[in-house]
Amino acid sequence: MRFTCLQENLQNALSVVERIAGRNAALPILSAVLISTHQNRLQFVATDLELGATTWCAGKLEGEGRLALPMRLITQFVSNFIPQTKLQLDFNPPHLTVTTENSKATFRGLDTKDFPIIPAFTPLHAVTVPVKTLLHGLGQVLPAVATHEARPEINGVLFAISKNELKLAATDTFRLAEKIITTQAPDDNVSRAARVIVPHRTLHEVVRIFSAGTEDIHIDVGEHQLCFHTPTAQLISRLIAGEYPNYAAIIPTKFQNNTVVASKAFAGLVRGAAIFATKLNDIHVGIETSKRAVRVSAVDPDKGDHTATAPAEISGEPLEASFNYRYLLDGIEAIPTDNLEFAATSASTPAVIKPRGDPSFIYVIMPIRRS
Amino acid sequence: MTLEQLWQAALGEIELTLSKAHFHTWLKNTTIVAQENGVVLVSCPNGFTKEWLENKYNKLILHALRNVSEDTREVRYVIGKEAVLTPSPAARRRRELLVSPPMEEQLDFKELAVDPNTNLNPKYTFESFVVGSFNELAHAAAQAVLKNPGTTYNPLFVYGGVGLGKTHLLQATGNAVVSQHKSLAIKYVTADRLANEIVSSILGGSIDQLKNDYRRIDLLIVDDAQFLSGKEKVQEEVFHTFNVLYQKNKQIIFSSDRPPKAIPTLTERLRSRFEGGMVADISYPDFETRLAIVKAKAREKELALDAEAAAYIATHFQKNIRELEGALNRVASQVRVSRQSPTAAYVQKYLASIINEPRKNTSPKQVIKAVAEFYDLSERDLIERGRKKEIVHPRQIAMFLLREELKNSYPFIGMKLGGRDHTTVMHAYDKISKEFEENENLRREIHLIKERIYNV
Repeated sequence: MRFTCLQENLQNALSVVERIAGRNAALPILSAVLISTHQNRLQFVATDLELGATTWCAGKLEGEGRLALPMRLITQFVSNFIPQTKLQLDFNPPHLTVTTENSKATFRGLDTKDFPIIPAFTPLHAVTVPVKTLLHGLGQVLPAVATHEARPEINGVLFAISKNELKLAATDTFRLAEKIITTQAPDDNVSRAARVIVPHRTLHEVVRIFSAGTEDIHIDVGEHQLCFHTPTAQLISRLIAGEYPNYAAIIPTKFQNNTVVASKAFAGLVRGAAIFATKLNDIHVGIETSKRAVRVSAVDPDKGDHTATAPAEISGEPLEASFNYRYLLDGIEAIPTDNLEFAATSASTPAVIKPRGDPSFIYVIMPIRRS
Repeated sequence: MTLEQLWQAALGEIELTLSKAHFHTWLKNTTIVAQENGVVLVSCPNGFTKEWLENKYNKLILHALRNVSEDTREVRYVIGKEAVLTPSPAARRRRELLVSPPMEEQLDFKELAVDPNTNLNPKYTFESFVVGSFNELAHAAAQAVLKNPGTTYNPLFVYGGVGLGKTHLLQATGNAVVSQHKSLAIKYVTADRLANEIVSSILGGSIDQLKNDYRRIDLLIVDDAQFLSGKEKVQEEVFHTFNVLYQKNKQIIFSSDRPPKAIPTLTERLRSRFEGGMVADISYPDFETRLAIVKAKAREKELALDAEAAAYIATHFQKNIRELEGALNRVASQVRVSRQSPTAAYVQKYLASIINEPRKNTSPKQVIKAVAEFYDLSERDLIERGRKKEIVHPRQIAMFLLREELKNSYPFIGMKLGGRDHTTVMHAYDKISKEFEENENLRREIHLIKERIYNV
């Protein structure tokens, strides 16, 4: 069997599956990529038994074949050529010969019999959204996911699928981010609403793999697994077992004050103060109704102090509260609009950050107790 | 042969034919979940394992199982429940320390700690519940409920002041029932939230659904039942749900800040049901118990408190365990920053600002308002000329509080409360003062009103 393609196409295909292959698994086959012909295309598969990625490479295909190669070996090799190089791949299992105009390399492959089978499942629910919309939404909520594994059920993002929306939610118990994506009305046979928890690692891979895409992405949800797929790639992942906390009660609806401030200016204030934050990462936010300004300051007995203000439209009472600057910044940076609303009630109750005039995103943050 | 023995025997044989890496990759965390009519059901931890066993090892597994249990005809595979790793509390604490700087100061969403099915917060346990003479009746009643839910004391009604551990006791009971009687459906709800649920489901037309949900519960815990006061429709629903559960011998536990009798505008039929089982009170802890609490909490927070410092805290926080814990938290975080060991003098210095906090100012208006609210009267009722018993008693309490708390003169108090004569006020003050000495219930009532006055 012979396959001929441009280096950039092969490189793209490998980059999709590259990070999925297991690194230190006891089985060497898990750090391999499976290359095979599938419906007249050359297919690349990699898995670490939690995630399984599949992609296809464009090129000229003659005959059929199948082999497994160590992932690092082949990616390093291919990245050596410039994009327009024409590569000719000859399959003589377990060997693969790659020929260019002026070079020839032969790889010793692994036994494909040992390569895991990517599990198939019956989707119970399906939802389709534009890739860009999904990736943007994930970018907004992913910073809030709990990264340590003390509580597995919040170690991922909630995907709540209902008739015409997809709700993404993430929390680490200190802050909470929720994004609502409107979806096209689904087929009638998938009317049942689903609430599943997707591991955050899976979603980081989704962001990486599909970032170049412009088309729609389909999400199929099964009982234990889900699959993201576009015409160029697919990613299968396990779901996190357990029940996502009922977070609706956390989101406050009434506030003592509401401040509208330019998103970039607010982010700048926080970054400036962050330099002077103590080990607790604490910075102080003051809403000054009389001066019509937001003040952000930080004091560290060893470093010094910093204060800066930005003009703001304020309604309600003045407020002084402390926050972890990282958490605050994650929220502000998730705001896509020029202006944001910052609403709070007291120094010990949750505050809310949301885009001005865009109800689809909300970020709730708990303060640091002020001494 | 049990399913586990069967699987172990089969695995022993399979292990001989596979490489160690393959065996570990594909067969760890698998179990047999069922065996019936020659069909063995093997549970796999994930989809990858299921596919692999089905497609590659099926023959091998079938053969091995047949050698152990001859009538095995077929093996089927399912994705089982993932073994959810719950790290030990110690590991969790270590991990949290690693992940984040001292987190005591960073506030978190309390709501997220609760179990979404039961609404219980796992941090409340009997192990961390300190029993003393002030709460032993309530504790014993809760233990009895735990032993025989639904039969011994039904309903159990616990009452006591703010911050004395009602919620802790209720939740600990719920958590203990969860761990001992796994099949029971348990729900913890505050009366306030219950009322909101009922109101919003009436508006949304889903009241029947809600009723059915509540009537399937085996142990219903309603916290802060005093908030049912004045909500007639809600009381009606609670009443009917109560009857359904009670008739099915399902356990119900209530808590409140005062006895059923003292909850204003509670319908008679609900009141009599509250009193129909066991009514247990939680009073104020004595010094020894407070000291025990301080020591237990300090151990929990890994705070090395010497005896004198512990005694200091126990002496200065008498009426509210929550405030006592707050003071301890403050000391703990201060100790972490300054790295000094907490001696009595040190504790004294850092708690001075809370302990010597000047009494918050209040005004006659606030006192009258608090009294009126407590008895569910309007302020006008107190001021106007009515002589009904339901109004006279609250009015006398108001006079007493104005005298005690604000040191107002008798004529001034008389004037504030509808131009009454100063002798009327003197009589009221004397009467309530005398009763205050003798009557435990009245003391409690007055204490609750004071909390309202100063906690606004």
